[in-house]
Amino acid sequence: MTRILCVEDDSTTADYIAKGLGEAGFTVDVASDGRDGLFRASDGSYDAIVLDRMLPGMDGLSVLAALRAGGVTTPVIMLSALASLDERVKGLHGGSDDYLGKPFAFAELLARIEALRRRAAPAVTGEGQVTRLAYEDLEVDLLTRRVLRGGRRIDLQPREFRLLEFLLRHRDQVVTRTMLLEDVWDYHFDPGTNVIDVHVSRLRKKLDEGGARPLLHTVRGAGYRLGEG
Amino acid sequence: MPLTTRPAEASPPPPPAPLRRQNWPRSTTTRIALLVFLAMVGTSAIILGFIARVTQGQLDADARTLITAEREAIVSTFNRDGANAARDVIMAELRIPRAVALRLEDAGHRGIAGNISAWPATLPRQADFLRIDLMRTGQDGPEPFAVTSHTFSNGYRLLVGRNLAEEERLTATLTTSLFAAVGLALLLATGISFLVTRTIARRIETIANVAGAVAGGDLARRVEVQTVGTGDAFDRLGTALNAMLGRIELLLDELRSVTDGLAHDLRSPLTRLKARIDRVQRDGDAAGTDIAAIGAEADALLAMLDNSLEISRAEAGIGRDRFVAMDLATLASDMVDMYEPLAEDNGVRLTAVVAGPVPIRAHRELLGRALSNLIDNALRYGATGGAIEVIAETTADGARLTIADRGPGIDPADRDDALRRFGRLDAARSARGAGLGLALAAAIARLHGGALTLHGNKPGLRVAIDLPGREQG
Repeated sequence: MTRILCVEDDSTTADYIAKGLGEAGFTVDVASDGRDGLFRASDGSYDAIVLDRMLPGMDGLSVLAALRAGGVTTPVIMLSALASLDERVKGLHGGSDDYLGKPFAFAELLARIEALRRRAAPAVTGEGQVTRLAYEDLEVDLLTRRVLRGGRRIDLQPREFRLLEFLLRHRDQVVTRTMLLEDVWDYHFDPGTNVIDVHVSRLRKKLDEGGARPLLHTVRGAGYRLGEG
Repeated sequence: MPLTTRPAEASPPPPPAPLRRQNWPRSTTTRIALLVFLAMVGTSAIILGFIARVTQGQLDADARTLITAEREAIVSTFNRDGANAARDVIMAELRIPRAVALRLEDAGHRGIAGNISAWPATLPRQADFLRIDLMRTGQDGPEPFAVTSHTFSNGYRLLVGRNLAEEERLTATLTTSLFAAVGLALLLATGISFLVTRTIARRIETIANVAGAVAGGDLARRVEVQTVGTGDAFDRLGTALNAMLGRIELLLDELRSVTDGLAHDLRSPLTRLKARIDRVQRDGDAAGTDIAAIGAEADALLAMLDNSLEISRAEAGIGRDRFVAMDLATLASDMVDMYEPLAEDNGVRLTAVVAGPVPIRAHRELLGRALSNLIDNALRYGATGGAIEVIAETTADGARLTIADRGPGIDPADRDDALRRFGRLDAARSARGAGLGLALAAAIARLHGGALTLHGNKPGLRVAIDLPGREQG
């Protein structure tokens, strides 16, 4: 059972988040101001915290600072209407694990919470420095940068390789276009057009060439997922 | 997708307290004038005291020298030739009408010679220098004297004195004239203080009035500044204030044009949005196409809002603190790499033309966003030409980033319009706020101390961003 704390003073947004996360199978508690949020989060029992930046009484950055000072390492994703690049950097420097500008697509929030939750629990594979990633008949050697699908060699451009690596590290998770843009390209703006889609469809074409089972799926309205169809 | 907006706490600032004239006497300038005045009084008192002391000391020294010499002369005559010889010297001295006092008496205090009838009670037997009042024979009253005395071995005593009336008159005259001079100086100081205070107060009041008028809503008011000559502190203050007011007015104008532009630009997509929602409400939407269109429309609105906010931030100079040393050529290659597949799908050859590193100081994210917008625009409107080049090069003044397409270009007459925030050349190009992309790139160029310019490419459009070099930046 995954427990999420949502600290948000706007009741419409809070309901929206709580309902959506509830449908996705999470248990959600809602705190409507910073103090209450800090109080509930301070025992570190939640798996992730969705924290609004601007809250009555005690703002999100202060709550975050208090939590981190108190040794609470629960992953925090910060929500803010202050979505500009500089505000984002401020939020991340303040100790949040991710930052999402308002308004946001629910799928984006969900994908990011999933990613945070898995990052917080790295014991899935147990290995230290990963040098090989594999999924079904796909094998990727991170050192030699060789990619094999069912023993067949696939040639990838450097950018396509990094894209594949990111998708493999997040296998069976939904990754959104902005997550890809942030991690693979290291930019935080929305390029607007279907720039990322084209990259992904090129990668997909190379991976699935030769009639094997499709590995890379488009998740409608959200992003992509590498894994079971 | 709920839009959460917090109501801005827009309590208007309290109106500025009007400058009340009756408060001026207690104002800072008056206090300064008073302070100056007191300082002058103090300085004058110290100078006067000093002059008085020095003058008195000099007069005393002169008198002492004189009476000591006189005493020594008589004492040596007495010791060499006896009391009678000394008496003769004294008698001779007294025959010359001078302001001296002399008395020689024997051991029984009987006078032998001199013009003092009795030994003054206040004078000790042996005194080096003393100021006392003495009554000379033949005079109406006591006069001030500097006096010295000597007692001989046989008990005889000698008194030698010098009248100080002359010196005291001199001192009195000196004191009077000094006080008169100081009085005049103080009068002058008072006048000057008053004038200076009034001038300062007036000039400050002028500036304060302008500030008050601007606060009251008259944004066009400016401080009158003498452009030639003086350039004193008040002129500098006025100039600085005017520059600030100019900036405020510019920003307000900018804000107004943003709000007007936004209101104008948002109206038609919002109307379309509302129409689609109405249709879904009325007829239902089994296929979900209307819902998808509503979503796309909302996304376009959000992108427009986001771009507009980012322009305002860039115009306000926010983000300069995040400039880093970076390579423009790498940025160009990265962005071309990002857009290349999309360009290829659209049948366009997108290439980066870089000869080597182009060092600049810049906000990587913002400059990346500007370039992304420009490539996006080129793909949108210049794709017919089949080729787009992104050029990063070092120039004499710094660096230049050029995005050149071979499309229809923009008519020279329309280029200024294209750079305006909500300027859109073609009403049909309504999708995703194309006008904002170019305006945002221009704002980001200005944030970097550079400029965005539009040129022809025979055929096509060249968008150039000139940036200052790393040293200047």
